[in-house]
Amino acid sequence: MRPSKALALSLFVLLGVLARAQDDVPMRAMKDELSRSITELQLQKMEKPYFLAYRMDETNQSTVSAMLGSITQEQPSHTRMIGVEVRVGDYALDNSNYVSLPSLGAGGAGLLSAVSQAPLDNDYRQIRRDFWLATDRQYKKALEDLSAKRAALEMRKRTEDIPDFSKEPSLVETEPPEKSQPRLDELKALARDISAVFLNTPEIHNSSVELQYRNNYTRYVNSEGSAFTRSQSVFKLQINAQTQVADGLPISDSLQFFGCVMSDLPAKDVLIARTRAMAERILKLRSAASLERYNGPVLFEGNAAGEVFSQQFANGLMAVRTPLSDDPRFELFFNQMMTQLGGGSSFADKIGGRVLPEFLSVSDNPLPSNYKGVRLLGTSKIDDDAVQTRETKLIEHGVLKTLLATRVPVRTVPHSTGSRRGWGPAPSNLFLTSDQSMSAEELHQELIRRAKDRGLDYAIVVRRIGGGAAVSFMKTAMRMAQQGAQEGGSLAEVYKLYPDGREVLVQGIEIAEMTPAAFKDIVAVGDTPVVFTDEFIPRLGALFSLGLSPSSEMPVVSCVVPSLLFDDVSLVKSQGPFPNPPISPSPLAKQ
Amino acid sequence: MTVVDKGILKNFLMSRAPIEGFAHSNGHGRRQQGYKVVARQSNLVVESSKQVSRAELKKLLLEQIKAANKPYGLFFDDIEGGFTFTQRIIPNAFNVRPTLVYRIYPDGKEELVRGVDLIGTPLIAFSKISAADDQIAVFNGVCGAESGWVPVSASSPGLLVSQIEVQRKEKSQERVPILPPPPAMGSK
Repeated sequence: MRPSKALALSLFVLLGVLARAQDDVPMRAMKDELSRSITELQLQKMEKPYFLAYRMDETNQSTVSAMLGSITQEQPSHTRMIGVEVRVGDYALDNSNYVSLPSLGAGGAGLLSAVSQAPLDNDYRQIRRDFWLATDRQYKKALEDLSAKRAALEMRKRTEDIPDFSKEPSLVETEPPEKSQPRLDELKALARDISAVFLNTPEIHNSSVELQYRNNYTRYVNSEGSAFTRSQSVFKLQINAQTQVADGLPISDSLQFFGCVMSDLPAKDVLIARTRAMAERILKLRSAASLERYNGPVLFEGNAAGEVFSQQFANGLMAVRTPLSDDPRFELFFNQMMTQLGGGSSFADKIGGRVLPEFLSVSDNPLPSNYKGVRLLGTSKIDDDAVQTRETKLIEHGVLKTLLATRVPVRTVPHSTGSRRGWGPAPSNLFLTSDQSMSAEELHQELIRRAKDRGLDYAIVVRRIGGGAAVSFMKTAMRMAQQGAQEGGSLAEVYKLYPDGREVLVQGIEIAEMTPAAFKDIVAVGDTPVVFTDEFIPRLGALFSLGLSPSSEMPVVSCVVPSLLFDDVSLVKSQGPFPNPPISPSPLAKQ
Repeated sequence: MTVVDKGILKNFLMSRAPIEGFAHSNGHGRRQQGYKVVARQSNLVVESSKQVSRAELKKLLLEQIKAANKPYGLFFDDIEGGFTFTQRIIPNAFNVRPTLVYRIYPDGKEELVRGVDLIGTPLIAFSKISAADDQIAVFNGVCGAESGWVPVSASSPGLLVSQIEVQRKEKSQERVPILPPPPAMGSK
């Protein structure tokens, strides 16, 4: 009797789950309102929308922060944000890829109006009502933009004829929502214990630990018949520490760990040991020597290779459309600003050209979920435009083949590569592979050999750059706002390597100038790639092609990169002015 | 702290920032988190030594309408808030946004109206109060100024003001939604 009863019960539960999956109230409300809008929405004799997409991003998030063994913030939150994408015109020419001074002048209100909040309760009527109003707003804005864009095009000779939106096969995919969530007290205990490490280092003026869990459940439906639900979880642990040397030089360092589940993070004792090691390194840095400048071979080892690759190179691999404007001067200014904020220009015109040495290749692959047991964070079956994701071979034997693109084509990339993440194209998991590699020992020897050839007494090894994408984006934005003010963005962990194998820590130096072209001068790579994961900021210009997406989070990208030996890199001493260090010593110092 | 006594201004609400003639705080330094303290109101109470009933107050209003030879008077029943400019560099004026306003005709007929704001300069408007009734109402809200938003309360009887200025409310040029609201089908 018993087993069959249990079987009947589990069958019953299973049926219940299936029924619920089919009748997802928000999804039903979205589909119903979308089909009404695509057939009926029309203002007087104006055009109807030819494409509609509805998104709902449901986010469950827990953030805890701690400092010196105390919790400073705990914030569980649960939100549902909705976004509506309306396209009027046709695939060849529609309301997107257009920016005008008046529309920006409205405080970006036009952009923001694409996103609004929806009820957390599964209230069919209320959810439909929210989509009704959002669609109405966006449709009116789309009509306005399209007529302004047509007028602007009348004024100029159109030199290139690229469609505004690419046609892609439709797709239906269902993923259940994530049920389990980490317990808040578990997160708090971890953050508290790690932050307590800094109680023993009064010389470190400021420290903090932030631990965040986020699950994003996306619901998507469009007028081409695509629909999907997708669940993505991210754990992020960040440990920050800052201090100043007596002469004012700021020293800061941070550790970041990403995972999909809590068990992806290293064990607590490992995390504490890593934090201690960082604290000790900062103390050593306080009394370390600096150097005025260095021009010569530099080895980016381990983590630093992934950092330099993702910060200085990966950005160019995105295909982003340049938006059109009614005022050519504004268009020029706007695009320069977007390029600066986006971390340099795109490789759009370099397809077929050599961008890396012949022994290196780069591919973007969203399919594997780990690399040698280490979790990859860019893994996904479907992108934010409901396009199937796939491996894209970007660079083969040094030659650029294509770029990562959304459904907004550029001249050289006519179709989506399934790379829309948030408001623009972003990598998933980037792999830099090499036909020839060296062991760590061989790399050091090669580095020293090259330094000697240049008549240098020592060579430079960078182990960690530090900062991360979000920080460097803020720095660029601030630098632009202050018209070229200097930022103390010193490299976190740099050593002088002497021919006898001796390593000496160096404080307060930064990369003088590095362009993606420098990567052509990579002369050797290591044989043990490291997974480096960080947030990625899609190019802002893409906002004017795709509009804001409801989820505010930045895509998380994993890079699998071996150590990189550059033949020539310029390093300079960090320049002030620096603020004065605190006048009296830390109260923690008095036992 | 009595600020106005029998119509005469006696005191200011003070924080620890002294002004000429008022050297000490009377405990009104208030702020929102993250702001600097300035003198702000707490619970403002308007009292009248001469009170009439609400019906009598309306009768007084009708008398004034006839005496001034006006087609109608206004009765403000509820407001949503308002603001006052108090800086020296611009003319001081207030704007109150009423939500429930009636026209009262000389024959006593009342008619609901929309789209008016109450405006004026504080000293003139408040010196024209001619009567108060016995129905005390309390307004609870938050007040914003240099030191941020602070919770405040104000209570007052109904007031008859012999002259007040109103202006038309700002009107949106936006089109109403194109499609009607979605139908209420579906469960839950």
